[in-house]
Amino acid sequence: MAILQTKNLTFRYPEEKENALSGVTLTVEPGEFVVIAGASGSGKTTLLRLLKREIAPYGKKTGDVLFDGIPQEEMEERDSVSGIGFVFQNPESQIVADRVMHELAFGMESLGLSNGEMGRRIAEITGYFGIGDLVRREVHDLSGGEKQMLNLASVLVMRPKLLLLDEPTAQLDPIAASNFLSTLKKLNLETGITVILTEHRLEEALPIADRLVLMDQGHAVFDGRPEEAARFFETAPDHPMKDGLPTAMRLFGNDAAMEGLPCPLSVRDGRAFLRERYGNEVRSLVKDAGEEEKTPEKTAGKEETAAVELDRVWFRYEKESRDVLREASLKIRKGEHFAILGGNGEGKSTALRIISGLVKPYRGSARLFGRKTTELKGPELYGKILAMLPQDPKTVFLKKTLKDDLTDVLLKNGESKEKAGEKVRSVAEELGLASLFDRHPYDLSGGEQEKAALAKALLKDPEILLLDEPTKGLDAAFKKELSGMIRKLTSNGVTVVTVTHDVEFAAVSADRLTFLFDGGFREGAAPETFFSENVFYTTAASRISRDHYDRAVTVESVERLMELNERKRAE
Amino acid sequence: MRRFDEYHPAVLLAYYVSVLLFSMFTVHPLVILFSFTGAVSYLFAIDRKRRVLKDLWFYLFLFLLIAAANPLVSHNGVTPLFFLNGQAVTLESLLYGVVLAFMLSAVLAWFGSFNRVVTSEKILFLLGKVSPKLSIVLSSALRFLPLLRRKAGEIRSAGKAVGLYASESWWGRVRSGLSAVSALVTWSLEQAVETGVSMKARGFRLKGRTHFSAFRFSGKDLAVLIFILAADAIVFTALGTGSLQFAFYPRIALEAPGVLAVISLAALLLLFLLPAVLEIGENIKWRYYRRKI
Amino acid sequence: MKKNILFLVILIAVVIAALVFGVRIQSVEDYYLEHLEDVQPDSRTVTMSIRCDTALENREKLDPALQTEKFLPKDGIVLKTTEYVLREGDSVFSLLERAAKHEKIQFEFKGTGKNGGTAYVEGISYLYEFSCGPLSGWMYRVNGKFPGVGCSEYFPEDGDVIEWVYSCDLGHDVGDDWQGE
Repeated sequence: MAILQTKNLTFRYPEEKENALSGVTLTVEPGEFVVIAGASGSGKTTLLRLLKREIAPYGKKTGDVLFDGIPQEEMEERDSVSGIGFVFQNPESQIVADRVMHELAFGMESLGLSNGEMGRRIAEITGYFGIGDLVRREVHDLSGGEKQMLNLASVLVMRPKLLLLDEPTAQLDPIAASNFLSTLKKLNLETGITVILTEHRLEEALPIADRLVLMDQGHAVFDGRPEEAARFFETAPDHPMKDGLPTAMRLFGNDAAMEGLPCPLSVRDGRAFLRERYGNEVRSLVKDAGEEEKTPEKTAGKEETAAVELDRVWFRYEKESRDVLREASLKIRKGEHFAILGGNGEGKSTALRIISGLVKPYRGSARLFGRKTTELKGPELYGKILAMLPQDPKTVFLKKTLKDDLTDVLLKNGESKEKAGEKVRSVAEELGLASLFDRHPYDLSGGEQEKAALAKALLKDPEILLLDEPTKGLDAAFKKELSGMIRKLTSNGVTVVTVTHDVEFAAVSADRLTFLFDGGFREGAAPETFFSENVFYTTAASRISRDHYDRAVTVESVERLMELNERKRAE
Repeated sequence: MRRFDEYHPAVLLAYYVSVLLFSMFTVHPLVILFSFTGAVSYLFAIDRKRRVLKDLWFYLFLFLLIAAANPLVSHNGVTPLFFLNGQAVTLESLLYGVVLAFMLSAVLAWFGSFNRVVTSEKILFLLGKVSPKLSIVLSSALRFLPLLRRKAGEIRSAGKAVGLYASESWWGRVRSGLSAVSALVTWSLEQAVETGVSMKARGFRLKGRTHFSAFRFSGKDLAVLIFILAADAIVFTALGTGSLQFAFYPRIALEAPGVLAVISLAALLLLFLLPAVLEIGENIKWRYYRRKI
Repeated sequence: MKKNILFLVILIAVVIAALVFGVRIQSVEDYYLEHLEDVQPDSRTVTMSIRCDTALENREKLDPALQTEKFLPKDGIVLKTTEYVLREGDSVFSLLERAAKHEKIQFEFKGTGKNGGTAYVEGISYLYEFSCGPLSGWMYRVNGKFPGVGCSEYFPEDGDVIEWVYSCDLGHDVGDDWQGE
């Protein structure tokens, strides 16, 4: 018997004109690992929430949801609570207690378990996850990844049969995300627990999934084995969701569909597929004269003042803590998009804060267009010279409607109401925000919030824009938009510095990149150079095409090479 | 035998209540001396020497202040040392001031160790026995404080970096500050909603909620508890029958204390020294064990 | 550490200020060096006595530390009736002060007896208010009646008989029918 079934599930939020879900019919067998994907607003989260009675949203619902054959409404309270576990996206907001042990006990307390039983289960789960030494710690001390693991564990101690996860890795860095997903798969394989999760990070999630459900505007447009998904895109070749698929699928999906073969999902399968079907007589993309210019190494020795410079900077947060930056130096040119990548830890965000002047290094200096940040005063520095977007875009908004929030900045700056209104409108149009003007900033989707925050930062026409993890938790469509916006800015001479973990985004969008390691920066290099030098920390496209093609680090480059070699073969 | 802070929270609570009560309400020089010694030696045992010394300086200052102040207010006593503004500054009142100062220092020292020993976790545990709901509320509050502080900082620097507070007048900055607070409130409400949903998902509304206690009451706890209660009983009796009365005025009482007084003084000494003895005892034990490795 | 130094500095400053602004320190001998004028036939005089009989009568209520003969005179007389020369501006308080100093009797008061400040006598000869129960304290009679004003506000005249008496019952046991407010 199916563990979960939805029959023609339709749902509309109150006061909305459109259905959030339309006629979704799904059957999930016990032990399946199901991934639900779709663009923001496609209904994934709504669908997931409706599967658990306690957290189902208010609104108009038609259709049935059955758990183990029993309609949702008829389930016993306790079965509903303990039988289905739910892990939310934000690692922070799910946690109730101040200490790990109590958080783990929370759900069990609700179920009225005895002290002995609770102790037993806690011991078991922490042992299984290897988080035993976290047990007496305070929650606010944990990293994002540890918090999310805690959330997973707190749900599992209630021994659910079905596990629902809503974009659980969206707020995590790649390593924590990877860790989390493999833990999920391990759970699924070792205990047979049914897993349904919504994800954007399909690169890692699809290869481990048994089933993929694609949502688009409330409809389930595809439901089947992940390898077959390529076939769906035959009917909609330019569907924006395609960009969110794993690289191997993007590259070889069409081919696989045409030949009736399962589409490769993982890098490993992608490599095999590539070698079998495509030659490599043309090994690299020869750049024509126009493109060559882009390689900054060729800039004809102009001794320009760097837009941003870090000169042997040393920084630590407290007298007795370790140095976060050690003799770190960096030079960023005007009008380029510079990305800073690197492992865990605070280093990258700290570097950004030093550049922005929010914190000062105890040794060394940060300069903007030659002037030290320590010498620049607030009114000149912020807004005019530079603006920074923090990791959590929400923290930027102060007013109740987007329109007020944006105009507020200019009004405070002394502009007249009309001028302010004009400026706001023009910036909003460029970013496509006009329709969201009357909404409360917190009601916007993740991508819309990011855009809105960006708009706010751009209002004063800063010359330097700093972005702290702008693509966190956002879908492929938005990343593409953001890329485009940055390109527009840099072509207008704005210097953009991005700190990110998102390797794929950096490969496509940045002009130059560097890596933060051991408190210092490696020499900045163009994506092709940077990524092709790495074997592990690099794009999927690079990993797929390595040794077959040279310096192909983006999907586009690999596609072009595939094309060129096809043509070669045809000649 | 365990370290003092490893005992059951109820035991710890009983201890501190007893110790504080006796320190504050028995104005007997020996009692205060014992209390002070016990408190300070325990602090030395559990904290870094330097920090305790720093605190001791503060106590000393307080000490001087109070010791000096008492003779200015109280002129009773048969031994005038000199006269100030027509009233006697007596040895007795000076001594009383000294004892008072020691008492205050002892109480402060006890609070110092209290902070370290009775952690929020233990307080929540005890509260949970009384009311699980209250315990959750407090636990959540404890959880949210550092979070809110961090978020407030983030909001401030985010606004700054986007150019908000930059070109404003002082008054404008105040208003922006208020907007930031309002933003923090909005953010916390959003958070709270999500937390609420998470709680609901895990059955917060179900009836029959139990409380997970991380602390088990063992034989050792019982032993120490009985010791504390016994000491309490002895001392209360002594106090009740006036055996522990110590007169400062008009003359310092130097009579030989009675049997009950001696017993209760001994009990108090043991009581006050308990934490330090346990701690040092454990340290010695461990050093011995480590040598065997 | 910085905070402590600051405190210390403030303390020292306060002490210096107090010393400078009229704080009178006397050694024990100086204090007791009180000259009394000899009574002349034409001097204006008053007589004063200090008694604590009621304390003896209510020994059970008395502070245990005081229950020895050392502190509680057997006959209840702290100061027997003595004649003192009445000086210009003498109040009952100033007379008490003079007598106590001369006879080396301990006493404690609140407030200042001079410059318009009122004084309140808290204790004489180690017998304090509340030493004999919550209703006990010192009172003074002039010519058999209780004036009902602070002792530093009453200025006696030539020939007045001043009696300081200790009461254990808000005055009722020494003949004061004043009901209180």
